[in-house]
Amino acid sequence: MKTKLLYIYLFLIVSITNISEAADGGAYRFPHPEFTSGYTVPETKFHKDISIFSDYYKAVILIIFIIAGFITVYKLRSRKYILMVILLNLAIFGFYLQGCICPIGLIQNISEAMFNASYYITLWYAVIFITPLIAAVFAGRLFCISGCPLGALQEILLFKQIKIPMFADRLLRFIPYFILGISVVFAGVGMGYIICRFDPYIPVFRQTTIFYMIPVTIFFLIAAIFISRPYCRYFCPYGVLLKYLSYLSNKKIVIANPKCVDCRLCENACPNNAIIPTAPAISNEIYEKGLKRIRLLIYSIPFVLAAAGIAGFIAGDLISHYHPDIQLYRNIQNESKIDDDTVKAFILSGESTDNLRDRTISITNFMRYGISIVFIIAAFLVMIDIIIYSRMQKNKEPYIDAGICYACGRCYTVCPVERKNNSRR
Amino acid sequence: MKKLSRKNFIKIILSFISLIFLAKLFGRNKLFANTVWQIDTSKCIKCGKCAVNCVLSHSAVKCVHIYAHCGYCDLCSGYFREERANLDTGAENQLCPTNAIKRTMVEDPFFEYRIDEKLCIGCAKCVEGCGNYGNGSLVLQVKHDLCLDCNECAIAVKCPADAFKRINADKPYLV
Amino acid sequence: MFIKRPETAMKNKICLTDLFRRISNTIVSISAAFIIIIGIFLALYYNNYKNIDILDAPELTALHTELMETGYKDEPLKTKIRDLDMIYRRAWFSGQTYIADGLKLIFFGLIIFIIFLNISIFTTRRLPDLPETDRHIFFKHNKKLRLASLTIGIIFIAAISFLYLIKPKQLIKITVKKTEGIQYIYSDYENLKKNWSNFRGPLANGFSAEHQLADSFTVEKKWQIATESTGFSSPVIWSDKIFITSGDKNKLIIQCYDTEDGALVWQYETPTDNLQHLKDLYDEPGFASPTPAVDEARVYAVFANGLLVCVDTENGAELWRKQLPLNKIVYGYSSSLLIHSKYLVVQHDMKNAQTIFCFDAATGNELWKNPRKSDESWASPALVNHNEKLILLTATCSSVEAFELETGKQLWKNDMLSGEVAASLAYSNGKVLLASEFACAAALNIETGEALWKNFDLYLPDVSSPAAVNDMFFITTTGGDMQCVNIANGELFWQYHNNTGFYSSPVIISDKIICADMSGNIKFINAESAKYNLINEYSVNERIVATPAVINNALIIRADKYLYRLDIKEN
Repeated sequence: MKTKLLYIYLFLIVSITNISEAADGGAYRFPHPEFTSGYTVPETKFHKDISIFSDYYKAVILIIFIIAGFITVYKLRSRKYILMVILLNLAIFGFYLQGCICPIGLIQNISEAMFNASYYITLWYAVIFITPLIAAVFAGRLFCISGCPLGALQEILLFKQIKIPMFADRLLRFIPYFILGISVVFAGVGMGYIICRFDPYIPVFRQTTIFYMIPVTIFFLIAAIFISRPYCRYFCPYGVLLKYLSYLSNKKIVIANPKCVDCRLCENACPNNAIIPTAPAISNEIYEKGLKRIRLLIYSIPFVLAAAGIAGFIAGDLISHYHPDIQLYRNIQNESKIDDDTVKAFILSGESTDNLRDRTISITNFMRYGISIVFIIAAFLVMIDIIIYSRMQKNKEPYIDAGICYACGRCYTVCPVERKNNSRR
Repeated sequence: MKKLSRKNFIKIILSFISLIFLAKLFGRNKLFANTVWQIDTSKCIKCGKCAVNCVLSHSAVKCVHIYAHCGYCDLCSGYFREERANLDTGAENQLCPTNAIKRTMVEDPFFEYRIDEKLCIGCAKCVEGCGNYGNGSLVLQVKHDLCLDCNECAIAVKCPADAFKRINADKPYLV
Repeated sequence: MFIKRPETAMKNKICLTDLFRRISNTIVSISAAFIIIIGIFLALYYNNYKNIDILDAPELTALHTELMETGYKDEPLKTKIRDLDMIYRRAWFSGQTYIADGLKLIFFGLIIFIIFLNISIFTTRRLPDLPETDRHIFFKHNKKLRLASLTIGIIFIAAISFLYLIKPKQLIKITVKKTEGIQYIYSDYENLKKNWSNFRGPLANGFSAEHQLADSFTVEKKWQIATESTGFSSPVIWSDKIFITSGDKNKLIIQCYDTEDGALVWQYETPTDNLQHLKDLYDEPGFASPTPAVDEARVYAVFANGLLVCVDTENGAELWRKQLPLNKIVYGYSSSLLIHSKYLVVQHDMKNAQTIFCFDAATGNELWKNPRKSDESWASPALVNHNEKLILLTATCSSVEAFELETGKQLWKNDMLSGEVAASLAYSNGKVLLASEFACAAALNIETGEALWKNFDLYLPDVSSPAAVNDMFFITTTGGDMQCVNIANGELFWQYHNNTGFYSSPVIISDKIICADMSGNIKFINAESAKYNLINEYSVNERIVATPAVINNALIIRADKYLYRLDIKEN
């Protein structure tokens, strides 16, 4: 009996101390009143159900969509069904889930988790990030039609195609290498997620945005009417990863099976310049010239890389001045900026300026070497690409470059061999 | 047994590297939950930037009144301006720029303050007033029925105090 | 075969798909125009909307100040404020609604545009174009490629140089100090105890056993010198040099005087930076309240703006400096420094963050820091040599704490204080003694930190720190009460009321108590439990706030305007 009482007493003590702890020590300037009129203190209500869709379901839906994309692209082989998947993708990932979280933006979360020890990603983030990459390893860039609302929106906007010449297209495709690198460094150093900040199509899905994005969005919307997938081709950093992984895939889109009639209709139907035509015959003189050029390109690699490294170092040093911490450090030293909110917040946080100074130094170094390394890697990839593009083609039939084919299915529609197969089926 | 092609070899190597990489990222903190944005009230400096920087035209950050901490004061420093004529609901006495706080009498010296979420724009004026001279029962929080959960929160970018952080969605409020 | 030519289709019959195409083309153009018009309207409206500053409308602020100036009696002005407030609110909320609605309209226009665009695409049947004859990617486009590469290169260089031109001017310089391979001089206790290295004596606890005063003596003024500077900090002494700190809004000063003739040996000056967090600083305590600390080679000073600086005792050359975290504290920062061997302890208990730092005296490198959840404090750390172990004692507004000097590990903590604590701790015979207004006088066990007794009936100090010797605990208060308390049980031995109060802390030299009141009387009292026994008294006729420093039968007193040396001559 006595022990029981003791337990009750202990429980009471514990519960009382818990309450006082929860109420911040229980000491308030103005004590909570005791009402005599029978007034009950209302509870602070929160909407328990979060409007945000669970990442787990997002991951599951993404996997389902990629499987659907696989079936339409490789089994049904028809632009009609592919378009259905695209529309569903736009409706669900675009307008229902409203964009975030997407694998493109997750590049930055992963990068921050790598470089910033206090940041971590959840399992579902990793699943969403890795699923399209695995799909790319096995079956090419299915994500671009079945999982990416940006791609879907651009796909259905294309109306009056202006065909970009092959060489200009290939040159512009070098931009994403740099964007990928810079976004990784920026996220790693805490300078913000630039991919998310300048995502041009997200405002369409949400119908609300920060105002500086509206001109960007309008520009990209208009561009998408005339140019096929302008964002995917020339800006999307995730596309770089998909491109290289797609080269590994066994399953590739093959048209005109078994025998190409070399009508070259597909070549023109492809809005993304992904179909490489049959190799032309080449005179000996041009061949010699080309060989010389490739030799020159290979010899110039070290110089280009060195130049890229130096440019990256300078650019990193300059960009680091716009890092919030470095701006804060400068504001602290500048007496005219003492009323700045960041300075106030810093003073209240009680961090030492020496600590901040050390941080600014490490940030500057990270930026310098990070951007420099990123530029070197990007320049290397660019040089390799140029060499590959400059070498002599030997293909007897047109083939699809798996790395840059978005599996839009337009070639299925125009290819006469494919039509014949379809009607036979 | 089939011969291992070069391509498959690269695939296997790549998948191993990515697995090790991901395992390393998770080894630090195993997290299988969803995360949402929320304001760390201890870091918040009540600068008022939440009101104008949200991607939503009407910010998802709102003032939340924790009634259990409220002193039900007649002279509420979250409700009245520092310089005021009388203690009444006239616009010249009110701190809130949008008249979002409703003041009603409970019994003689005690008044109840309710926040009209439709009008609240999350400017933190009342939060600052209550924090400076009162109990601190008014705090800013991200309302998850409104928040779009952007990957990079537009307010977090502008937040001078670094008070926005991602927290576990099972406990989405930090009050 | 597969694709009908439009001409032939037209010839045969009016094609339904063609009708669709025409209709959808019209709708596409209409919706495009609609989007553009709404977009332009929205842009114009947004320009209007963003000018509404609902948070701090300047007109409203002006009216509010006007109302305040009229003493809140102007009724028409109040109505005007209410009306204007209403107008602003309406403009803001309707603006938000308009913009949201406008964006939605654009969105629906876009949806219609896309749908009919696609209908148009599907209903347009045309022959596929034949590709250009060129089948090369890069191979043939040599000239174009060169041109393109050149353009890209030029753009890239232009971008970098543009960045270089617009870059901010202040670059952060990265400096790495080389500290290896240098032998630094540290002063151990044997050296320190012969001097007056800290606030309230060598161990900063108000008691020095090393210096002796005779039983009967006369006090003579040897010299007096105008310091021409303001500061509440106390002087510290190392062999033949006296160090004091002072400061104002413009500069912070460390001065070194000769003990023999009071001549200024050197003066160190640095501008007062980082003033932004000093809005709460009252003029009275000033910028140099913390007492400096000195050892054989260096003198250390900390100022109200958190600047910790170390200068050479020989010539006043700066050796290192640290900026402590910028933080707020009402009245201003006042905890004094403590030096012992290589440990330089800074108690930095501010409003939002409370940390005890320990720096390497020679280099300024951080040896340890203990950020703890405590409360703000104006008290200074004290050191105790208990059983050959050095224990650091600190008092904050909520608790008394003890730390290991070498590691910064907290030994114990007792949450018994309240109010605003400025009085530091004293120690005698294994007991930590404290007395602070709005709390109590108490003795704590040095080993465990538990309270042995508490006395709430005494007059308690709010500025002056108590001191203790043997079984006597000596308290002086701002009200002018001098009390001697039994440290065994907290009972009063004797009590004496002085006409003027004390800011300066008493120091005990072996068995003599020296205390200076605010009207400039320096009292020499024999430490005995029987009665108040005044041995000698000397007046400088000037307010004394600083605690006296004692060395070799001489007393250094810092008053408001002058620095005095009083010699003690044995009879």
